[in-house]
Amino acid sequence: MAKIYPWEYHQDLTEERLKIVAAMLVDGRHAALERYDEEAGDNGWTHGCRAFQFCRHRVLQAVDSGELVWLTAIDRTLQLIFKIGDVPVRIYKGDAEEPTDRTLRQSFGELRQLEILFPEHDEGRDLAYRFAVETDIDGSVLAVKFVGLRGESAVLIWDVPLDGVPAFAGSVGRAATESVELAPPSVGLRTDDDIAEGSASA
Amino acid sequence: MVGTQVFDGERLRLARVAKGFTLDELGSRVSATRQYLNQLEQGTKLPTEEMIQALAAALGVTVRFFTLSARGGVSAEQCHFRKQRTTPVSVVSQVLARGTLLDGFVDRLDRALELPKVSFPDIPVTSTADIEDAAEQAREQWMLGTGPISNMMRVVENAGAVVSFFGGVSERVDALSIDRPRPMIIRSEAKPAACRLRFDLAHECGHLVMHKGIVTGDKVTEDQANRFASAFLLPRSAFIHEFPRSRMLNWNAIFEMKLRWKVSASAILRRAYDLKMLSADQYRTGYIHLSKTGQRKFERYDDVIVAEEPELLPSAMAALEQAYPGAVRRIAADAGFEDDMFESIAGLGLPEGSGPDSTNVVSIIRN
Repeated sequence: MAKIYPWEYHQDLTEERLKIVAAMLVDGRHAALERYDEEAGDNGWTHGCRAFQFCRHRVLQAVDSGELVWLTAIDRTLQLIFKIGDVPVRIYKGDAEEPTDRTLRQSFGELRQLEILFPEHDEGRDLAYRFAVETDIDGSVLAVKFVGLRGESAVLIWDVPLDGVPAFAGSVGRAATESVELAPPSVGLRTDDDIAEGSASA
Repeated sequence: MVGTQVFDGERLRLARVAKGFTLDELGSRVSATRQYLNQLEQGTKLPTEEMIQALAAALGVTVRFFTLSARGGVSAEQCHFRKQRTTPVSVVSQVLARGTLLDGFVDRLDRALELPKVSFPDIPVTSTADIEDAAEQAREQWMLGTGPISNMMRVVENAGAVVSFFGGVSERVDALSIDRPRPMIIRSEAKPAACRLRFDLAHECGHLVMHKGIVTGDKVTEDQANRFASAFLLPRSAFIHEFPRSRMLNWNAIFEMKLRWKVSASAILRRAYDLKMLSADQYRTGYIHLSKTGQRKFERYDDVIVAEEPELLPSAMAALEQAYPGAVRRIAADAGFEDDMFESIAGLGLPEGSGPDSTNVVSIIRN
């Protein structure tokens, strides 16, 4: 029977844990959006850097706080590989279904951890586990998906529920829709006969 | 001829207050004492035929006006206007009296014509978030999207409100709304700046949506109506998307927004402040800039944005007149109005000419 949920691939990937990490990523990206300043020179590149770093910072902060015992870091560099329980995970921004070359790249540390973790023929062993953060055109987070990538295809995609995670309330918003042209107020004559009949005596 | 037996003193008071006359002022016009007129209004004395005619002439109503049964008058909680509690009682009474008279006329029109169905949603609010939601819900109900409101007058008129103008009412009352089966929005200034009028209409729209059955006029409800107007004209998400983000206020961009959204620069600044896109200091700086550059009352581009005109009442009268020549005058006469009283409550003149001989016409008015 095909596995659908992350915790079916590995018991450490619980729903609660994935939701906690997803909330950090949403918060990081939205905090970056709040600081977006086009006039000062921000563009997609600076925003992308800041957004990734803000997410990375939140994850590492959580690791360092020690409050989440299941969250640890393998690689604290800008590549950022962290672990949920024993499973190595990375993050990227983009469509879960269309990973890029960079997204697919796996570091030695990550591969080694997977080898240790999964039995030789376990189907979870050769997957790269990622959080894919999908954003709207304005940069606000639309969805966070937990993805298992095999080669170039995503064999596991689980949409992390973001209930309880505040929607973006910062300074980007959404483009307005077109202005609606309104017709003049309609005025018609009443046609019911009783008007004339009822008023015949007036 | 009106028999003195059917003279209704309450109708006399209504017409007098609607005209803004004190008992003394009316007394001097009809050569009577204030005590005598007070007795007529109280119903403790009945006037002579001559006095009835003199009163009718002085007040711009027909003799018949005094004999009509008083339909439920407009009460204070149905009437929303700014500073109601600090507005002199005489002005409040005048507004209520005119509202009552206009309501009587509109009710007659409503029975003769198919006017837009009244569709103001009823959304009580307590928090700022509620108000933002109410504005969004209203936009959604009226299918306005999140873009600029092309014509605020049409929004409220298509939602069934009649918009009129009360000439000669104190300037303290700049706009008000009356929550009747067919709501009425009244302006006291004939031609305010376009952006100001749009904001006032959205403000009154806010009262009609959020404050059904609530006595308004205090700071809380007025602030709520202002916030509604702001949120309705400049929806949160779209505003956040468009408002220029920078350390210094970008006036060119702000005035471009003004032209696009037809909302004053001062209201745009306020919206940015309310949405925490401007700090208190930035907001103050912006306000001072507008003030120092003489734009507190008349802003840049106020002369470019075309003022919106009420269409419902004029079109209703035109449609009726076209179908039944003379009908509008007959309805006005049925309500007991002469030309000048009609103009003071409807903000419009009666159609010229008396139309066909009324004795040959079957009236469409349902009594």
